[in-house]
Amino acid sequence: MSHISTFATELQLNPIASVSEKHTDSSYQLFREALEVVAEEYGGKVDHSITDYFGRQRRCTFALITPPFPAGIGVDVDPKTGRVSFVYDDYGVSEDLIENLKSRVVQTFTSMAVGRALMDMNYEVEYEEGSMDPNRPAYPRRKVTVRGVM
Amino acid sequence: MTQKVEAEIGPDGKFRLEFSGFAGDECYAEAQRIRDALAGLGIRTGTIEVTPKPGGLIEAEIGIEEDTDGQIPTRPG
Repeated sequence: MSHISTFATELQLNPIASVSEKHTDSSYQLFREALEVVAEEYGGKVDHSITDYFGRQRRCTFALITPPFPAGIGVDVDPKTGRVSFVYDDYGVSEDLIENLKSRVVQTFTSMAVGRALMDMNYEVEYEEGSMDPNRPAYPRRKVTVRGVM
Repeated sequence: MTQKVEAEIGPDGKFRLEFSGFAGDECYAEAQRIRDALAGLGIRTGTIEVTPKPGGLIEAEIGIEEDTDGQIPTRPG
């Protein structure tokens, strides 16, 4: 039989006992790769601290720094549970932009993880991306398709 | 026989997996393997909906007639 399944997702990286594990753990590595993809889309970079409205720095596990939001969106990963949360100072920043950045991170990470899972199961994998909002050019939502063939 | 898995991932991370070319219950086992692999990569999944494909479509995909009435297969003897 063949079927169609729909899943909700929650980001929960592997719990980490030491800082050095972050450099070798597959979930951390993939999450960082996903952040780098999103950073490149926006002409930004991945760092480890964000700033608030007053210019104060705050350390976080990862930080997505982009020209439209230079203060950055931080990502905290609870070392005990692996749960992922976003941190940022949204004062004076477009809510649409923040939601777009966050959703791109979640969507990119999920897409890359699905592709990696299929590759590890010996599928040949290809990616396709399309806009879901052709009339919203500023921050269009996207649909990503990952195909695995064996 | 070509087996295909197509995943559509939305902006909220919710995703839909479509399995094609799988015989019997193989696709359910494959779905579970994908979910286990995703958990190891940092993504927990919760099932929202599971829809078996109609029998005719499955026959077209795998080229054999399949029993899709939900009966448990039995062996004589």
